[in-house]
This record gives sequence, C-alpha cells and structure tokens, in this order.
Amino acid sequence: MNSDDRLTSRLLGGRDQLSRPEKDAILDGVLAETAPSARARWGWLVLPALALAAFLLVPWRSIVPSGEFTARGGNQPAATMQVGCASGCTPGAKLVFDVHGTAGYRYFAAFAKAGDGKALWYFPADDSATGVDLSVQPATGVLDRSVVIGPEHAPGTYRVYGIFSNLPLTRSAIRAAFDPKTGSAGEGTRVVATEVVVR
Amino acid sequence: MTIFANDRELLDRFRRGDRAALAAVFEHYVDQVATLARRGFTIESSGHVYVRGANRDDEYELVQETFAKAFATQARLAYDGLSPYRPYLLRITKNLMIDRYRAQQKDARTIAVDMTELDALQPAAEEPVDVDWNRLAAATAEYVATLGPEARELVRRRFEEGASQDKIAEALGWTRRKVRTVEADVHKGLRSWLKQRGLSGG
Repeated sequence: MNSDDRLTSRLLGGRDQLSRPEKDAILDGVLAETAPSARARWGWLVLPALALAAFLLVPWRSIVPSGEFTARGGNQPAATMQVGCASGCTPGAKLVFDVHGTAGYRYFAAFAKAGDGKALWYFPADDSATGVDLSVQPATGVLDRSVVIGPEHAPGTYRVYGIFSNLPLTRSAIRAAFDPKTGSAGEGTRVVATEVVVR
Repeated sequence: MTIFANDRELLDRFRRGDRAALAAVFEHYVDQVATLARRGFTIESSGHVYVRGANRDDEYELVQETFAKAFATQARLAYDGLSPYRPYLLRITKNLMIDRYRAQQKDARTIAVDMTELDALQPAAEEPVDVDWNRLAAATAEYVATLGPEARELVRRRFEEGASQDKIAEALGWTRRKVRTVEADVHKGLRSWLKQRGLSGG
C-alpha cells in the first residue's frame, strides 16, 4: 500500500488513524514474513476437475517438459509435501498431493510403504515413466493428478515418501538410491515423508 | 486481560504460526500499537525526552515492524502465554521509536530506560494534529457525495465500518474482484479529486 492510498483510506474513513485497508495490508505483510506459507486449501479437493480422476493414476494433461523451469521464491531449494483425502482416506477416496512451497526441484515422485514393508508406487505411473514434472503443474501446488484409494490399500497406516529431484527419475533409479535414513535418493534429491491412514 | 488468558488452544495455534491465530492477535492489539506509534511518549527519567509520534507512513511501518518482530518464530515460541502480551508488544514499539529518535538526533541525549520504566510509559494524551486534515476531509466528503450508490456503499462498509473485502463481497453479493476494483477506483478518484483542487497529503 503506497503513501497516497494510506491517506485516501483515512480520509474515506473520516479518521486520521490506521484504516481497515492499512491494517489488512500490514497483516498481509507480517504474515508473509513470519507465518508459514499458506498451504493450498483442501477445498481444492472438491474442484470439479478432480472428479474426472479415473480409477488409479490419472494424468490430466500431457506433460511437456519445460526448459524454463526456475525455482519459486528464494535461492535455497525447498521441498514440502502434504498428502490427504478430503473426508478421510477410505476406499474410493482420492489421495491428493500438495507440494506448495517447493522450490528448486523440478521432478516429483512418490510412493507409500505399508506396515508390512510393501511399496505402493504413485508417481511415476509405471516402471518406464519418470516422476511428475512440477514445472507444468498448477501454481496452487496441488498436483493435477491424484490417486484413488483402491483395494491395494488395505486399512492401516502408510508412510508416504515424496522424492524431489532435479532430474527425471524412474522407479528403478529411485529404488537404487533411496535411503530413508538420510532423507536422500541421490545427489540433487530431497525426500520428504508423511503418514496417511487408510480406513 | 491478555488475549491468551484461558485460551490454551489459541496460544498453541499462535505458537505454531497458524495464520488465523496470528490474525486474531493482530486484530486484538493493532489499535493500541498504532495509537502509541501515532502519539509518541515522554521519557521523564532521561530529562523529559519527548519521543514524537510518527507520521502516517512511519506509523504504518512501526506497526508492521512491531508485529513482524512479535510474530517471528523465536518470539512466538518464547512467549509463555502468561505474561501480559500488550506490554510486550508496546515495548517493541517503544524500543523501535527510541531507536529512531536516537538516529534522528544529532546531539541525542542518552536515553537509558529499564524495562519497568519502559512498560510504564504511556502514549501522549493528545492525537497529533494535521493542519491540512480538515480541508482534506471536507474535500473528501464532497467527493463521496458524487459517488454512485455502489461505491458509496463500499465506502461506508470498507472505510467507515472497517469491514474486510470478503465480508463486503458476501454481504453485497459481489465478487471479491469487484470489491477490489471498486475500492481501487474510489482511491483513484479521490486522489484525482484532491489533485484538481490543489490538495495533497503532503
């Protein structure tokens, strides 16, 4: 908010005191500086577009690698991942990935490990494919492809790993380099983990 | 009473950096911080030093800087939830103002204030007077009278009553974009109106 708008805000309010628009602008600035980035609202889960998701992995648009990808905000790479379902993860529910706040990594892969150690791959979609190209994903950070909880997800707690990388990685490349203890899947990668409960 | 009294949940959310909790704390205290910034205060122990209240732009910056410091992660985590929060916030503002005072005074007297005295310092009793305000306010009233009903309704809700853009959009059945657009147009129109009359905020 510039100096002129501060004055006109006060004049329109009839008081030479901090106006509502000034307070709003100050709070926005303070929150931007001090509070964690707002995560994409889970309200996105009800976007009509998501209703188009098919049974398992559904690529909604062709993934065209872009040479213009640049890190969003700051110089330090950052990797964040939130995973969840709109109303609890039950059979038929859509598991949605939110990577808002990620910067400095172009590709994203994810898999879950069940309590028995069995891995369920989400991205890449198959053994020959590579992970999701984040440079062509919506700015909201919510991936435009989701996973429908199917019979392969027995009820229980799953540890979901997100692998962020600078290079496109196949499942086999990730398997070979993945080390959950160090939080790495090789040079130029970052592993983020969270838990999802399927009921 | 501090806003966190008997509200452990708010304190926990505040410490976590929950944006809604931070906004609630901000709303609760912002006017008190702004009043102090605007009016200034006098430090008797340092030889009746009057730390002058800030002008509009500096008031804005002081309020923002105060809350930015208070809401920083370490500050949030360090707050015990029991100590009164208002004196803590105002202490930040006072220190910022004393720092500015020192920077502006070429022959600044030494200001030595301990925390107890700092907390006891009260804002000056009187609001600062802008000699141009009455003329600007009169011209603004004339301008508002020329507005159409929609813009006038926005002025009433947004500026006079202090409603958020979201609330106004909801109440009037407008889109948020429309609220923003009308608000921006009102600002622009008033700036132009004042300029045509040789008035400015100087």
